[in-house]
Amino acid sequence: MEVGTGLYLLGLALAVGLGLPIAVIGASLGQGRAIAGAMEGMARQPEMAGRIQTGMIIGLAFIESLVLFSFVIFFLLQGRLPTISGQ
Amino acid sequence: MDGQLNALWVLTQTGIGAHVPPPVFSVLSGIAALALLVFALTATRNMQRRPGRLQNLAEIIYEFFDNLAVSIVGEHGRKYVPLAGTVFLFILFCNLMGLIPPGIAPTASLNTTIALALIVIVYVQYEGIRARGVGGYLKHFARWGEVPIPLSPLMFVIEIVSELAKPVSLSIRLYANMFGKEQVTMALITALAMPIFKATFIPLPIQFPVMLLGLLVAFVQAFVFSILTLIYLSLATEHHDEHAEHAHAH
Repeated sequence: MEVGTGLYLLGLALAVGLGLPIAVIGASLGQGRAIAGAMEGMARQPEMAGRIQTGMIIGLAFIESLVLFSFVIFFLLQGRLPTISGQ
Repeated sequence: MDGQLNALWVLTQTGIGAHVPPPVFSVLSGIAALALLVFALTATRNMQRRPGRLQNLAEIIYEFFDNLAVSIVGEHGRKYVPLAGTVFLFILFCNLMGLIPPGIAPTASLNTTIALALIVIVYVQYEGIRARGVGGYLKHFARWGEVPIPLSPLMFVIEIVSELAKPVSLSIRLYANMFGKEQVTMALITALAMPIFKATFIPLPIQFPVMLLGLLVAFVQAFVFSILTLIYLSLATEHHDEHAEHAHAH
C-alpha cells in the first residue's frame, strides 16, 4: 500500500471514529448548560414552567441539529471506508 | 429452519436501513395521511356539545395548538393552527410507523422531510409577502430602519442565506433523528440480537431501550417541527407597529 493511500485511510478512519464523538461532547455540554438554566428558571418561577420548557426544547433542538449535521457527514464518510477482505 | 429464521428476522427488524427504495416511503406517508384524514373525519362527523372520546381527543389537540400559536405568534396566529397541527400530527404518525416492527418511518427518508420543509418555508414566504407587501418583505430582509443604511446590503445577503438555511436545517434535523434511530436499532439487531438468537434460540429484545428512546424522539421532533413552523411564521409576519414601538422605546 502506498504511503499516500495509507495516510488517506488513516485520516478517514480518524474522522469516522472521532468526528461524531467530538460533536457529541460539545453539544452535550451545551445542552447541559441549557437544561440547567431552564431548571433554575423553573424552580424560581414555577408558574412560568410551561413557557420555559417550550423555549428549552427549541434551544435543545437547535443545539442537537448541529450534532445531526455531523452525523450526516459521518454517514457520508463511512460510505467511503473500504471493506476489509481477509488480506 | 432457515425459512423460519428468515420470517423471524423480518418480524424482529424494525428499520430496514438505507437500502429501501423511495416508493416505499411515499406509500407509507400516504398511509399516514390517509389515517389522519380518517381520524379527522370520524372525529368531526357527528359533533356534540358533550364530546365523545374521539371528538375530545381532537379538541384537546386543537386547543393545545391554539394556545401555542397565540403565545408564539400572537392573536393573529389563530389561522396558522391548522398548518402547525397538521404538520405535527402527520410527522408524529410517520415517526410512530417506524416503531411497529416490519415498518419504517417515512420521515427517515430525506425525500419526505425536504417536502415537508419546503411546504412550510414557501408558505412562510407567502405569508410574509401578504403581511408586509413586496416592498416591506424586501425591506424586512434588509433590516431597513433597524441598522445604519450602509449596512443594509450586507444584512440583506445575510438574511437571504439564513432564510435558505431554514429548510435545510428543518429537513435534516428530522431526517437525521429518525434515520439515526433506525440505524442504531438495526445495528443492535444485526450485531447482537441476531447472533445470540442464532446461537442460543433465545430472542433477546436488545434494541428495546433504543425503541423507547425512539418513542420520545418521535414526539419531540414532531413538536419541534411544528413549533419552528410557528416561530418562522411569527418572524415573517410581525407587525410594523411593534417595530415602531420598539424604536420609540429605545
